Amino acid sequence: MTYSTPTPTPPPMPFPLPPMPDFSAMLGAWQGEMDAFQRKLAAMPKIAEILSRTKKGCTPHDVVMSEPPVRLLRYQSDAPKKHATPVLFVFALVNKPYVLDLLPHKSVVRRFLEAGYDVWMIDWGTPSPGDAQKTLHDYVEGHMHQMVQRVLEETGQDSLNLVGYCMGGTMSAMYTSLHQDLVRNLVLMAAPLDWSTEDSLLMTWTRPENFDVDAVVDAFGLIPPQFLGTSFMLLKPVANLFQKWTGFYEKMDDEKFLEEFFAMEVWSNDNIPIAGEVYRDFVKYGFQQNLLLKGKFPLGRKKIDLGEITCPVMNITADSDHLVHPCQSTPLKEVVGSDDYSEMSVKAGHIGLSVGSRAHKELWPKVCQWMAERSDPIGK
Amino acid sequence: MAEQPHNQQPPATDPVTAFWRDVWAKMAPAAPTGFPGMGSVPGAAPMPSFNPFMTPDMAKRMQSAFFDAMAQSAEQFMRSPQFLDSMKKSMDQALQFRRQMDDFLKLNMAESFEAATGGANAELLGAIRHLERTVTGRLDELNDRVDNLEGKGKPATPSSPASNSKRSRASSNRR
Repeated sequence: MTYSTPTPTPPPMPFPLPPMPDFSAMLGAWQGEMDAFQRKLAAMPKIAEILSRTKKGCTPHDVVMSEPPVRLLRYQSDAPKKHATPVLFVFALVNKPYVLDLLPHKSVVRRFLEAGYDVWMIDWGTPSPGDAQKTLHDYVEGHMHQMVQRVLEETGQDSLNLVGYCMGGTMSAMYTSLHQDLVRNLVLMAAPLDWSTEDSLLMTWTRPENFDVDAVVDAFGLIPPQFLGTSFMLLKPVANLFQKWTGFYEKMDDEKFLEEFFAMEVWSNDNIPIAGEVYRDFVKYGFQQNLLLKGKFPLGRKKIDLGEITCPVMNITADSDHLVHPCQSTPLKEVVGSDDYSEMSVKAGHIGLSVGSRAHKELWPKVCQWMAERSDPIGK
Repeated sequence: MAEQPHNQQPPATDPVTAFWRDVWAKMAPAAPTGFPGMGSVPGAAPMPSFNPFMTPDMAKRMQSAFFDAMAQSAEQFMRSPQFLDSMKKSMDQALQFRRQMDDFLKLNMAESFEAATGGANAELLGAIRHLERTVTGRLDELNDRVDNLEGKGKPATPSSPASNSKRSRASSNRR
């Protein structure tokens, strides 16, 4: 008789044992990261070189008129002209306008030149303390009207296409309502027209109980660029202070990325002061009292009535715009007098509207086409 | 007095607790599965292989989750009464400092050296501006009177017949 000792069964584990960690995969991943870091270190001299060759604007232009500090630019192009009706770009007063002509593949100006337009731009320049007293009326009915008349005089046309971006869009809408006969088509890009939304952080900050615009304007005269720059930066502090730089680190060995990054950085840090009285008008009658859509926004002795706009209107918004929410632009359709009103939206942020690759691929060809259908061809 | 059940967490009322709770919730799906209590969060992305250690990819995902939580918290904070109040107070102080500085420069420096200050320039420009407004206002009145004499009724910008017809068409549409 044989006896066999039973094999002792191990006691059941209170929880299943994890499999062994994959050390080799982990080390491989970190090794890849170290290699990438070395590539980035090696790219340092290239970064300095690209930064040093970053330009402000890329398309050659002539300065046709100057009313210091404001200048009227006409862009040069070898592309054959197809449309007699010129295009005039109007940018905001808070930044330089060359974001519309940042790099050859990200230039809205070039898209219009390639489509056969005669392209002009108002460069508001950098206001000096002597300009602090200028009001919105001075800019719209003064400088802007002078520039529009000069464009028409130079081109021999009786009307032009007006493209306004951001605050420049608001000013363009105001101008069109006052001089409808001089504007053939109006294109608005992320133009704030309605300040009734509570979504915007800027709206919260500029409420009368939080912000005394009169005290700021009276104390400073010209609103310092740092003040505006910091306000815009604080709208997205994490993105501007951290995520932007982690993104930069990730792609700092990519030459094309660096060119675009530095072009944007140079532009976004190239802030200009804004005339105090313009700022007062805009904050008080726009942000705080929301008078524009009500037809009560005062400009000189007149009140702006957007119902006076009867030309074709294209209202472009950016889906992820944190500065001018789409709901601040689209209410225009409720008040505009035009029976040819269209809207377009692109998946981009406020500046992505002009420099985003999606906007250049999908939006601008359509806008050029829309405008072509409503402009005079050459030789007519 | 009704007692709180032990297993129920109190709502995060203070911003710091709310922030860290949000960070934890957002970072959990990105965390290594070996971290107790983190990888088992429902909805967590499945790991390619079990790994209790941090890989670069995980680190990036956790960083991204941390930034998302920070951005959300910053947005909430900048809308809070505390932030708005401190913004207003610091703005008031900055403006007061600016005014005191201007007054000091004007009283002590500019008068001693008989030099013009920014404030003096602004006053001069303001006076010129006032004069300009008076003159342009008077010119506008004269323009209105000339228009009335010519039978136009109100000052109008020059407009072409085409645009006038469009305008009347548009206004009739709106009606």
